[in-house]
Amino acid sequence: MGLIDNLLLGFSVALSGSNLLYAFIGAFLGTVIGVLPGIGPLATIAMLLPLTFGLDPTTSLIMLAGIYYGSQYGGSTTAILLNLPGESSSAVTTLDGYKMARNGRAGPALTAAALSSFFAGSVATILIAVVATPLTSVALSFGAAEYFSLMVLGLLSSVALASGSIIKAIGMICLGLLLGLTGTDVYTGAPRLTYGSMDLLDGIDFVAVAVGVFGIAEILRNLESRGDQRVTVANVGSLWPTRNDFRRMVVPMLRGTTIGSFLGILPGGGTILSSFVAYNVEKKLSRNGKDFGHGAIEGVVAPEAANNAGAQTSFIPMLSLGIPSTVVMALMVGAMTMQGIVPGPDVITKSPQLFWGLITSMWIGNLMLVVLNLPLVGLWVSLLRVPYTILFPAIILFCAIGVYSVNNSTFGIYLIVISGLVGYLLSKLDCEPAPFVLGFVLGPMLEENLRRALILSNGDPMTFVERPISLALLLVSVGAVLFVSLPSISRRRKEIFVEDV
Amino acid sequence: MKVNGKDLASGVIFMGAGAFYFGYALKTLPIGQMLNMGPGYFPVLLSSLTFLVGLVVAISSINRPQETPLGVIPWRGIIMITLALLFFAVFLFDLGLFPVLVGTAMLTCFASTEMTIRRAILTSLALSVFCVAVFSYGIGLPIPIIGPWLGG
Repeated sequence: MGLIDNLLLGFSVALSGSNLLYAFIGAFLGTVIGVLPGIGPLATIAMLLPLTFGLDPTTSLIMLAGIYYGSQYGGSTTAILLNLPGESSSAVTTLDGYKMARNGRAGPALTAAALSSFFAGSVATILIAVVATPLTSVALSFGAAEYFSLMVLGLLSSVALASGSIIKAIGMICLGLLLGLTGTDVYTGAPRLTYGSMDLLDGIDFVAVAVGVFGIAEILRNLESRGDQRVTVANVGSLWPTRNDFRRMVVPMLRGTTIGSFLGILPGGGTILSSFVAYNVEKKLSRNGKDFGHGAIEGVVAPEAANNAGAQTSFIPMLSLGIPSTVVMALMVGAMTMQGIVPGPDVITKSPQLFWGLITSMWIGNLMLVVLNLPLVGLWVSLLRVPYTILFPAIILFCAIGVYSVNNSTFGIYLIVISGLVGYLLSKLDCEPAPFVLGFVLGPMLEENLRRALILSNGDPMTFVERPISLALLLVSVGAVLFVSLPSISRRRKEIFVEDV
Repeated sequence: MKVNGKDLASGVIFMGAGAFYFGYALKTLPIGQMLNMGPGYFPVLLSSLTFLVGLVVAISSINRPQETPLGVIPWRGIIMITLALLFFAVFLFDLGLFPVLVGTAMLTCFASTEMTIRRAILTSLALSVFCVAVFSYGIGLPIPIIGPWLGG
């Protein structure tokens, strides 16, 4: 089947009534939480996961994906109008976006952000469609050793591309891997590391951990500082950019999309890094570089294109290899697993309607988002007046009910409490939760492939370096960590994340 | 001597977790050998690695200044949110969904220092009505709305 046939199949799935409805719900919710500072896509997806069990697998993934890329759109609205990042990935958008708003050009800034996000989203969607199939056939030739090495690469490069201390992130991966092993041993069926608890025989509930580490810990962080700040929202005015604006948008949009698409595919790359890098590159390369920080439209377009492109292309490794490269993708893997779909190269052949339906729905969702974001901007602005003191009790209630309903058991609630408190403590110590959760999800898969590879090689650990693909993957992962550990690079790496913010 | 307190603490936590899991796995699980790993093989391997990483983190904290302060700790928020969630888990079946949601929301509201009683009551009632509407009537969550303790 050619690409066109596949896309047609996708559209026939994505355009069905309920899928269209849930794509809209996802995009809408995503925009809401994107606009609201203090609640991100991670916590939202974790909270809503249990509610999607009743849905068809394709429909549920379409909705969850919508939340994710929708939040990228919503985040920029808050960044431009309020000088506050609604999402961390739009932090750099505040620099020039808010300046534009102060200069009375909030409308064109919002339009530029939405249009460049839409452009980037469309390009990234096509990229997924083109790249995923060949990547899948490569993945099908992988044995256990290659899969093991691929996961090592995923884990280590997520460390290399994240901000903060590398060695601490590795420590967090190890903790995640260890806790992920709780449950029943796949080979012998023996319970292990369960503290004798029946509730832990199926492992520690991933949804509860994610809700605790991201939802609860985030609320606690917000309670540190937050009073209800009186927000002053800039006046939006006319939405239309001038002809000159449009001319200045084209090149940054292309560069931002390219950077975002590339970094999104890399494990751990994701949206935050994409937008930071795109902004800095644009500042260096743009003819209007000196205007950056004073309301340059390029400074809005490039990072917004990049974070949306990155959000979309991070689906590539998850869909074609079954390996989540970011925590949001880990949640998607969790959603698929709970629906009885094993993520991996088989998805595209065994459930093509899910694969292509999801991809085409992303494009449709992006189209909806442009419509949602621009004409309805007044609605989002009024949303910003909802005080946090109402918001966080709502989040807690949703978390509690959501996690309860996963297994119809209150055990998960205790898990939220523990993981929330531990997650908060560790984040206070500058240990990032993302590598922990990635490790937690990959732990069982990593062990299974390690054991299978060693059985196949008669117990010879050299199998990992004798098989060329496996060796290459391992070398790249070690190389990535060594590279970012170099003193000059590590200084530069720190700068990328703090520069101008 | 300057010590990066955050790094030292993280290192100690990693070491502690590594040591605990090492002992726990070694005591309760058969290890096997590399050709045919037992359930304990990978946990033992991994916990040793965790311990080592912790050691490196702890050692490298010495003679390095702490870059950012620890900041405030929202004790009130931590305590109230913990209590709220425990209240939910313990009394869900006895009180029923609606009363337990009101209680959980009330406790949560007072995690913030800026909450007034009036606002807390209004917020809690509104949120609980909303949740019951969505989850009980909308999705059909099988929990009684009013539990046995309240005659439901």
